[in-house]
Amino acid sequence: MIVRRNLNKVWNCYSMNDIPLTMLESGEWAEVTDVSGNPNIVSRLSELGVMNGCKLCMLQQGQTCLLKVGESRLSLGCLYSDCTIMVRPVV
Amino acid sequence: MHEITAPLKSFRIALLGNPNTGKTTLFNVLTGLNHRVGNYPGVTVEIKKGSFVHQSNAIEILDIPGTYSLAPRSPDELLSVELVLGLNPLEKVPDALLVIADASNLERNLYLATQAFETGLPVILALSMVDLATASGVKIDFKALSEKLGIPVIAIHASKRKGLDELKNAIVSLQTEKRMPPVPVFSQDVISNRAKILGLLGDKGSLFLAGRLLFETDGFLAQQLERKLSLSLTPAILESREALKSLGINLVSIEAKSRYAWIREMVQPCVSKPESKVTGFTDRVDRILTHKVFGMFFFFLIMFSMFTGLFVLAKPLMEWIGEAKNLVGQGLESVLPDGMLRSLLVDGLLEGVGGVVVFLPQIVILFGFLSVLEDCGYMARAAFLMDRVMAKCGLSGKSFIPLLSSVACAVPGVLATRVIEDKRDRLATILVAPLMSCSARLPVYVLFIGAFLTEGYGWWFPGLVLFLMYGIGFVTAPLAAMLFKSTILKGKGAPFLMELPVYKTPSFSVVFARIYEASFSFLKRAGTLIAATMVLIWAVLYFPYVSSTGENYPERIAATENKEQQDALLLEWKKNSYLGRAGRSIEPMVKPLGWDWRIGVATLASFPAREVVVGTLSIVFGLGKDAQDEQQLLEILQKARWNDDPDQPLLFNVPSALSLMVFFALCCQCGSTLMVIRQETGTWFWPAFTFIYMTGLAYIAALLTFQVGMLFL
Ligand SMILES: Nc1nc2c(ncn2[C@@H]2O[C@H](COP(=O)(O)OP(=O)(O)O)[C@@H](O)[C@H]2O)c(=O)[nH]1
Ligand SMILES: [Mg+2]
Repeated sequence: MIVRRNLNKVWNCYSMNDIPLTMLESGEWAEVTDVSGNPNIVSRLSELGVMNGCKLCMLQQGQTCLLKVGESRLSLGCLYSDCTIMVRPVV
Repeated sequence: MHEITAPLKSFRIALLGNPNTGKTTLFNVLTGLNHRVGNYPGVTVEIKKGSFVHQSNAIEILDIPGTYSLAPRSPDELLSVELVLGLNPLEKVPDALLVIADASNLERNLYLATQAFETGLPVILALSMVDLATASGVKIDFKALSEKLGIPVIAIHASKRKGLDELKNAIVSLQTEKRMPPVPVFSQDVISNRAKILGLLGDKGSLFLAGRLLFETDGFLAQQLERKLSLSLTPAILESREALKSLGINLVSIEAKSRYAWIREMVQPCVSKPESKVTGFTDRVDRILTHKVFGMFFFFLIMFSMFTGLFVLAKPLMEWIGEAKNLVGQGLESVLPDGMLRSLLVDGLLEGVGGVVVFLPQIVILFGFLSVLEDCGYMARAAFLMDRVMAKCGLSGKSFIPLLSSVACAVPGVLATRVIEDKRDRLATILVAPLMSCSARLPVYVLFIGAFLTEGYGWWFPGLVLFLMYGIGFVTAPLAAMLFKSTILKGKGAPFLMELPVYKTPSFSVVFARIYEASFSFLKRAGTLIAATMVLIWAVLYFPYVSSTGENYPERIAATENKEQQDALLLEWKKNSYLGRAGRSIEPMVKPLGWDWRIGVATLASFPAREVVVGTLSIVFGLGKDAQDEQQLLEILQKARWNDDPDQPLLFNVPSALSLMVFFALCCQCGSTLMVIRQETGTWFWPAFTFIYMTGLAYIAALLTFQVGMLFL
């Protein structure tokens, strides 16, 4: 399990593949590459600074996750929002 | 006294800012009024007004609920936007806007400022939390920023009264010299389409409003405006949107993108900040407190210590108040002659009101705990942790804060639901908030736990039972919400999106103000509503004091020397009083719960306000009892027997005490809550619904508690 996770991590970093935010592990940094879905939610997220090109860190991964975006900590109910955030992990 | 020449009209400013930027603190310091200050987003659910005088200029300020953006998506936000833009018929347009921005997170906070810049009103920018920003290595050149933006930029620290004079001077000088804010830059196509819409809006329009109509794809604001200004806007808006879309512009993200780009351009030369890291104090603490396992453990630990502390700390204080009450009672008895007046004052008012006031220490401790949790930033973490649980019930973590506030009182709890954007989520939260055990239930719990679940158990046991009583609300409320969300309020909830503030030492003045406010309204309630109800209850238990056969009970009791005979007479009197008759007629209904008519009476009497149950019990069980008798209600209850007959079994045992507590935990016995639900939902249907479902639920649960409990006895 742990090995797979770590392999995943290495794979994510080097392949430069975009992954959904929900797959980002706690403590990892990433750059947002795409935010799509319910326009209401997308625009609300963008007001808070979550939009293409922004850098964020996953503080606590989970169904409801905790992100650090700029200087603020945002909690997002990942599974329940009808909106997909794609990110590219950065080393 | 200092003479002040009043100006012709006062200058009105509206205070705008993201949640937790210190708006309320600034408002209080400027106006000298005390208000509740919350440390989680959206606690300012009411618009507060205040005023102050500076250099003989009267300034009026409006404290508007904290918001990240002036794009309204909930009634709460719509109200703010209406006020700022002067669209609210009840309020005039403000003369200027004061935007308060958190310096430690400047770019994000300036987003709202860029929207304020487009309203056509002069803007002053106040930067709070400069101390925190400096501590984390952020350097801001205020003068350069002010020059770059062309508006006053003032660093403040409201609670330390820093920068206030400068701020007041800036406000005053706006009256004579209007420096208009800069206009954030959008692409040429956006600007031309926005100008088209602006043309349609006429004199009520502003760049900001035109922009909103263009960017807001859900049409919420457009509908509101069309109704308010009776204009036809939709075709033109749709046409402009189509034009922009055909140019490849994404309407959903263009606004934020352009604003942030503009902000970066303005801020970059004036601010230097270190790279964003996750090694600060808050992040390190959060690693544990928001952890799935450790965080949950800590959450339960905090909740448990809160309820244990409530019991252990309050006990000595309650005893003092109880003694003081007895002293007053003795004093009254020594000066008043025996008779109706003495009975009213001592048995009705003093016992009833005093019986409620005894719980003041508990209120103080409960509100103290909650406001410390709130002000240090933990409350938002609790909401985060509970989001997963709430999601299972079809709600979000946002519903957790109103529910936890309802532990203090359901009225502010229901008001706090205004931050929930989704209508169905909000209604479901309102409907279940009164299930949370509020502080008015505390007296019942404390009395019955003290009487029947303390002696012979460990020191930790009463606290645990109290915790479990509160647990009933914590478990039932989400379950009821789940039921409502899957039946009458079916629909997908809005996603949970909340900012977690940084941790900080709770401010003494904030906590003190909360406690003071809560205690004051508790005492006021005890002195008015509760006192009036008590007098009424005393009366329906005192009258008629002459039986159908013409016996005058008070006289006969005074004439008898025999104690047993006195008690028998008393019981007959109480039974034949108006309330006694009502109680006996409902006895068949309450008997399966393990109650006799006297408990039925006390429960019946406490429907307007559940606090009166304690006072009513002391009247029903103690009215006319030898007044010199120093017996506490607690002991009376322990010794009470069925029908007051010494040969009958004890009235209360553990199952019947529990059934009473469970009934009170779940029943809707609060007129104020029903009123606030009516106010927030706009119909009588929902308060009626709440009343019926809660009372039914309480009856069934109490029945089960007693019947199942008796199986174990
Ligand atoms: N360190 C620091 N704390 C502040 C400052 N201004 C306000 N606070 C604290 O920030 C918390 C949130 O303030 P509040 O007035 O409730 O913010 P609001 O949500 O915008 O109304 C309170 O505990 C204040 O004591 C400041 O300039 N520096
Ligand atoms: Mg506030």
